[in-house]
Amino acid sequence: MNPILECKGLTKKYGSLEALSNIDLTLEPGRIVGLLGPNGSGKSTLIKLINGILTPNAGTILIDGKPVGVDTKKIVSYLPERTYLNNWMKVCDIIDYFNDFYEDFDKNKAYEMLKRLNIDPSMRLRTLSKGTKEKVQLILVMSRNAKLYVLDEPIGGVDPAARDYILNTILSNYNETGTILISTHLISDIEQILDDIVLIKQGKILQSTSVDEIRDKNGMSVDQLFREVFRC
Amino acid sequence: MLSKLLKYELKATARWFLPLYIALIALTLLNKLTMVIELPDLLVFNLLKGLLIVFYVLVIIFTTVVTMILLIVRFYKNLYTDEGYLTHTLPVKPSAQLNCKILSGCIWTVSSFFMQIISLFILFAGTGLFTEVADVFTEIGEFLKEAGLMDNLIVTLIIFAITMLISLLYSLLMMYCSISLGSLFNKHKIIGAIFSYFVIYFVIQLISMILMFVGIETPILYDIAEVEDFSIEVFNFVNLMMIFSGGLSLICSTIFYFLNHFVISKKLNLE
Repeated sequence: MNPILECKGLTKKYGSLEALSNIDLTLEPGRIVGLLGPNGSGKSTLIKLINGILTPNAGTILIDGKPVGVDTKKIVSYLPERTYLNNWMKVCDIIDYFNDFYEDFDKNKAYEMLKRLNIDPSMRLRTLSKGTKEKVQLILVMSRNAKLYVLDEPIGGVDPAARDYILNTILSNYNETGTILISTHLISDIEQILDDIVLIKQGKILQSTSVDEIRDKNGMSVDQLFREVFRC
Repeated sequence: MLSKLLKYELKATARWFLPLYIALIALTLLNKLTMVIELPDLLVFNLLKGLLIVFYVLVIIFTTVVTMILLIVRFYKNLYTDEGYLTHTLPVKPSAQLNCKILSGCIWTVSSFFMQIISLFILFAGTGLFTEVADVFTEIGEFLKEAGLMDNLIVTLIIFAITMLISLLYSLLMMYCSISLGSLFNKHKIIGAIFSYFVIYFVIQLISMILMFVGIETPILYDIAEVEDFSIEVFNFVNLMMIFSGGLSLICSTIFYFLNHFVISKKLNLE
């Protein structure tokens, strides 16, 4: 079986600044992986490279054995840290849009989730709060039966009470043979759902292991490990 | 996929263009009304009439300008701002995205042009202006027929139509290309786009000026002053100039297309 994500010698520079230097990373199917690192460590750069928003200076990325392009965009479901929704659209319009472009989009699932989060599909996005827009965007992304979900700071803008609910939404709705890559620095909130973690710092990968291993070997939680590794 | 993209592209842009057209037609009808109805000869009404006409002329001109601006804004926002995160992660080739923007640009430019024509028709219908214009054209036609130049005219008109189409593509792609190049700037992308536009404009002016000087030296254009059958040569000269400028525009458009494609597929620089 192909690894779902395979990066080799991946390097991305912004001018003279090296955002990612010579990264090797492999993710297996069916895992929930936390991409953890402080601000400016290269998390978003890696995520943008996976989604073809950026092009690497050197190295390769294979997703399900294929180079980044139309074929990989069909199987990667991406939640950027930005809101990309058109304000003039209605929630149901944007659902139709996703349904039209992504073959793996499950419209019923999307409406179900909207109902559970009490979001009216006939509302215009303009009238929704920032947090609600983020929820809509997350619903769109999780309603796809993707092979790889890439979530960039999915719970950043939502209040702590809604976080658990959203994590549950993520967990109960993703395609279980798929892999989820979650970038965040709110580790304690998502620690309980992670299978693996990738620690990234200054464009280099420090560690890529399973959460169980950390607990067994290091005898500490991911949050403790993070605080230790990235101590200022 | 292109048809799906185009469907949403037209949906998204129609909500700007339709109100524009409605405003244009409404203003036309209002002007028509003041032309048809006999208003009392009062200063207020005359002032109002005058204002309406000035406003109408401005709106006719603005329709062209606003069309360009709306297309530029759509291209920039949809590809190079936050919206780009969705646009560029759709399972669609960069070329399809670009073709969609070009097609929608052509559709709206042509529609705006037709709306202007329709508006003028509404305004001047029944005033006898059109019969006068038609008479002038019939006279010109008869003159050319007698001189045996009708075929030349048809050829020239065909070349003219093709050149217009190319120049439409050219101006669209040049704007799009400037925005794409502007997006490469890390800050002030819009200023970058304006800067790119002027650089491109300057370079092309320079090239066409050089080519013109070269052209004057070549016999085919130079001889025109010495031929005897002047009328045919005029047509040939006009044709040649149009083919020349059309060809140049086509070459530039191709370069613009590939520059746009290169930026979208390899050099995205979203914030």
